[in-house]
Amino acid sequence: MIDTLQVILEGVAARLHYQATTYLPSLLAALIILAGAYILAVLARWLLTRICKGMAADRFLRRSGLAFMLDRSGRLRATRLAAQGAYWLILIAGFLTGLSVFDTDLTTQITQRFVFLLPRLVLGGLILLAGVWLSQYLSRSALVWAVNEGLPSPRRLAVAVRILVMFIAVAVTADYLNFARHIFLAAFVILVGGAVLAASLAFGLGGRDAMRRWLEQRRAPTEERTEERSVWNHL
Amino acid sequence: MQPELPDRIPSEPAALDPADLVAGILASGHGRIHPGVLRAACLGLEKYFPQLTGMIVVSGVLEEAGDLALEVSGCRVVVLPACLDAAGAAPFPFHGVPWKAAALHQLLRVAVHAGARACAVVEGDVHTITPEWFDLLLRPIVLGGYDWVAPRYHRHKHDGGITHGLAYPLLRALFGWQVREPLGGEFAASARFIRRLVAEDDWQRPAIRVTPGLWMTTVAVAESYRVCQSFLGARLRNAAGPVGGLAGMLAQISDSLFRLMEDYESVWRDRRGSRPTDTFGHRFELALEVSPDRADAMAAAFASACGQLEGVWSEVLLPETLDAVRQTASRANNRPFRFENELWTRIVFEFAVAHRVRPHQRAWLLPSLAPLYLGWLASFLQETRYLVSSEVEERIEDLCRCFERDKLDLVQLWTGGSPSYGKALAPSPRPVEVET
Repeated sequence: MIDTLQVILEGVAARLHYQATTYLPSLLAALIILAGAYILAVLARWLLTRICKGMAADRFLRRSGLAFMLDRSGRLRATRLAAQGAYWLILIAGFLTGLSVFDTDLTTQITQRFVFLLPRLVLGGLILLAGVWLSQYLSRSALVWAVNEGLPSPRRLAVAVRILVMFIAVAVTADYLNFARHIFLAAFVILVGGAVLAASLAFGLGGRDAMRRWLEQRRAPTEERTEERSVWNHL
Repeated sequence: MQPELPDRIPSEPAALDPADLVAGILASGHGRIHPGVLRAACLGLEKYFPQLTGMIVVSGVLEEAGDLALEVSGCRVVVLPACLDAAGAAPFPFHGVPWKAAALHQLLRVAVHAGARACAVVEGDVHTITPEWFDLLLRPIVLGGYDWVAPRYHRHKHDGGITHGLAYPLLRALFGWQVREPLGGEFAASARFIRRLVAEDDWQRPAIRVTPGLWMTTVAVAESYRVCQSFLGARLRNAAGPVGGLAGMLAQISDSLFRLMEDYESVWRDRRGSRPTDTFGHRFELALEVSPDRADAMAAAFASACGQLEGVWSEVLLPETLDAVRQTASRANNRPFRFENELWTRIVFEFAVAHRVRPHQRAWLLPSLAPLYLGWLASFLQETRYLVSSEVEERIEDLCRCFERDKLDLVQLWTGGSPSYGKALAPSPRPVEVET
């Protein structure tokens, strides 16, 4: 009994010894690489913040409205953005390098997949960002237009525009990343098709009279409105 | 007497016979001109400047040129067809004449080639133009040595909200000259000033294409040409509503104003105060038809929009300005409703800065000014309901002084600093007016 226990414990000790001698150096090496990457990342961020002024890029961010979209205060600077980007890129690279020290099938696969996926993820992120920018732009335009035209529920209209554009951006991104593309495409077709059908039915069945009344109301004071908005009155 | 056939513009403009004076007529959106305008131009040149050679240049017409010759006899008429290729660029201008700037450019070039000492330009669809208009426009240049004659019209006291609420106070505060009608359609220019205008590189720039009159006025006051004004009379035209409605019109005019601010930044930043412009002609009160009172509807539209557009305005206006807008909107049902001049001034300044800082968002940013303008206009209409024209002018003068007083804050905002607006925005208590 005692012999058996001794054998088992020796086996466990041998395995622990083997694992410690095999993986601990790798783990230590990975931690050292990660720490080095962290220091490098911080250094790169500090250097970029100090050296680069990024005036042209700042101007682009401000003029395009991206600065206000990413940061409501509008104080986002290209330098900060580049420094943060470099920081995270070096940190991720350090993490992957550290992971590759283990040299197992699993870590190799993870590293490879990540490296292959990264450019697509970046581009997918850019598509989403463009979608967010476009949705904000179009929804704002729709909101201001609807308010100036005196349309009912301008905010709902703006939200609808924003959701529609965002949904298109998400569907395009999913299609590009090959991530549940059929589900997103099907959902898009069903929702948009359904909305159009529902709107047509509602208009045809229930809203025809209301629309006629609304049009008549709009037509009636046309002369007054024209007078109010004539060039002569306001210019 | 057989009427003279109108000249087509010669292929070589230098081949034009010389003329001392040019009376230019710009065709309307339909490419037509009111026959009376052509007769008035001819009579004006013959009656008031018989010792000088005159020429009438009609620009931007779409109809057959031969018909125009039947309208006048004894006057030299040059007809310039509309440059339809200038109509393609977007956005469509609020006045509905996409080739207006190109037609004006052509007209001024003809005046240069004819060696004219002065050129008066009127719009072809204004049916109240008389021969005296050409005398009032041309005489200050011919005898007074002025370079630019701006029009002054006799208007109903409530007409011209954009002119006296935005364009006039802003241009006056910026450049220091009191030109009352910077958006006017009629003007006259000296040979020196016409050469300056014709030398402009790009006549299809938005500020010129959409509001050529405003651009020319700005050039005159910014580049220190000799400027004066002439009272012309009532200006009535068969105008359709502006393309894109009030919001579109206001957006295009404010866009032009703010672009011109950028162009002449180095000029206006150092100018302070304002001085009156020499004015000719007779000023008299006109009993024009009273326009329907829409102040209540305007105030309601402003209050309703405030609830919807706060998010949009928060990206343009400073927090304290937005707070003041909110407070003002909450009192929209009060009688009398007050939209303080100080608040309107700050709004215009902050929109100008936002227009400069965020050019890619102008498409929704500028139309969002319309409800704020309606709010200010509602207050102005209520305040001036029982006043005579001269008293209304005093109110406009108050607004202009407010623009001038706060100009330093505009400079601060423009250069990225924080303004220290001189006067608090809380509405001052006023005695309640009793309607009788």
